[in-house]
Amino acid sequence: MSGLLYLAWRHARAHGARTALLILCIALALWVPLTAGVLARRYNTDLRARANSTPLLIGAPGNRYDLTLAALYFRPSERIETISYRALDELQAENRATCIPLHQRFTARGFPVVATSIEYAEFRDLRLAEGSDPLRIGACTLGATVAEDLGLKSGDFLYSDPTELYDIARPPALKMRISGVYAKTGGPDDGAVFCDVRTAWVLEGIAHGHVEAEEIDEALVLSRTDDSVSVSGALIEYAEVTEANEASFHYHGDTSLLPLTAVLAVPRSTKDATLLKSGVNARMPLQAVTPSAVIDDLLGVVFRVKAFFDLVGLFLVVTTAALVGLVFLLSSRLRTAEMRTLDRIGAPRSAARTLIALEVVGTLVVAACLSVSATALTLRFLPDLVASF
Amino acid sequence: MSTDTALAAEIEDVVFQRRTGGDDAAPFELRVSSLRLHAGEAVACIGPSGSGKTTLVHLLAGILTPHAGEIRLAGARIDGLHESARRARRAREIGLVFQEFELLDYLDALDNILLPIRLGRGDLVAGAARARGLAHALGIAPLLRRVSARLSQGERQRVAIARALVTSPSLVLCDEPTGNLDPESAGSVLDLLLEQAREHEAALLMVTHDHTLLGRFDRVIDVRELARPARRGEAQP
Repeated sequence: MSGLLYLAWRHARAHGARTALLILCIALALWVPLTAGVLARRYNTDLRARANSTPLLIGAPGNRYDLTLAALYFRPSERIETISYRALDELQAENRATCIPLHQRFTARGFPVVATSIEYAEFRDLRLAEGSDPLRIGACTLGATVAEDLGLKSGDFLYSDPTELYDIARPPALKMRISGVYAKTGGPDDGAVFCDVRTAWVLEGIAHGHVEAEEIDEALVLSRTDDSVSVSGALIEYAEVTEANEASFHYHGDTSLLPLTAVLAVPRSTKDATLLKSGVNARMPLQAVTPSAVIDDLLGVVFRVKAFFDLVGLFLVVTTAALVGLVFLLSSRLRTAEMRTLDRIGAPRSAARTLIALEVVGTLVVAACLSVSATALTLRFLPDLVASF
Repeated sequence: MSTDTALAAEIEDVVFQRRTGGDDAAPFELRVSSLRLHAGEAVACIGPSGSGKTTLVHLLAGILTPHAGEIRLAGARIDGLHESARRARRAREIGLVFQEFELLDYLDALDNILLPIRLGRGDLVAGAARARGLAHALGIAPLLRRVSARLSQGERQRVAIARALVTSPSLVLCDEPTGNLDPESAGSVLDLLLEQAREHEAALLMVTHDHTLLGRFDRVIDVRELARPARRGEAQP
């Protein structure tokens, strides 16, 4: 066998271009369905795990997929409507669940800013790798991926992204102090910036602080009277909450109407979950959804599409196998004289078949290794699909 | 050649038959009453096309098996051996040189020479040393790592001869290795074969149509007299 193995190796090496082309074709044909299959399984597992760990979501009536995907995976959505902070109070008053506010409409250097309460970190079991939770207004705690990608740590600052670059009436970008970094979880929380809901309202422009008139740089003062000071728009390039100005931050209007994008409810029992969900859907201008059911619906569609691609992948593999078979068949015919020589010299009766089989198996093994490596690399470097769903 | 010399190969009362065409065609039949090849002896085998020269070579090599009679190699019968055993003995104990030399184009000269050792599971290290020695003797030592497809016709002949001798066979069978060569080249190939076979004390049987070469052999046999191919139903001599 070792003699034939050597001959198979030398033949493959002597016909390097043909062998490389065959290996590439087979590897590609295997890589496509293999990667798709692994991705689909991982996608399915990750999506379901997150959904199954989230009992109930309550938000504005509308698209339940948008509500679920935004609240669970922090998928940005322009279409999602807000609910009032009063709704959170009303839900808490029912005393059936721990209600966690969620506000997610802004980004900081491209990462979603998730405004919530300290209960969220407890519910998701987010452990601090360094620093502390974002307890103060204007403070934020980074997910592990955000800290890693941006090279930030506790004590650094992170600017929120401006929403309207050319709108001079825009809420200013907020310079947020990083109070801590959460440990890696392997989920969407790694790619988010967490802050208190009050910070989100500052980002919305609903809450703000004032600079003392005496502290304004005279170069920015346009006019000054006894009871007012007019300053240049350049004064407020960003807002920053400091220990000195924290007390000056305040809201105008009814605080119970401050916006949230969703409420994550953790019912105390199955009965409470049922009653809370039915109560919200029947009595309130809100919708309550069970994320696992929403994701099941969504994946049902996704996997129907995947079944089609599986069929395409199977067709690709079968076609490639047929072509590779044809190549080896023609090759074996071209090697008839060689096989006759081996036979005459005294090679075993099965030598010709073994020689071809060794080349086929060798080609397949190398191609399989290549496709598995390519799949591993793809999975390693492909962006997190769940996060970017 | 003295009859005291050890017998390298021996055929006794062999009958071989093979169908030649359609159902109505009479089968080809080869009968060999007796043939002995001694160690170090060089024998030329002549006869017209279709008379059974190649069949005789194939019977001695164990590629074909007779319907009756005995074939011995170095005193041991090979006609009754299982096919796999015959193949193994062929790879180890018989050197073959073909008309077209039949080198594997994708192997270099050294690997072509070592082919019988690789196929017969011989000692590769000792085989390689022997291959280098043969290559040196045949003047192809600098070409050992050259792919055979890039060798000249003369170089290919030498590689084929080295391949036939690398296992130190007791019998070297050559099926018209000079058939496609000009007289000068044919003479030099034959000289090389005879020299190497004698040096290694191997019996050599060469099928040839070239009667100008016959004087260089120890003995010449005519397959018609030795083997008497006959049609079924004909009276046997």
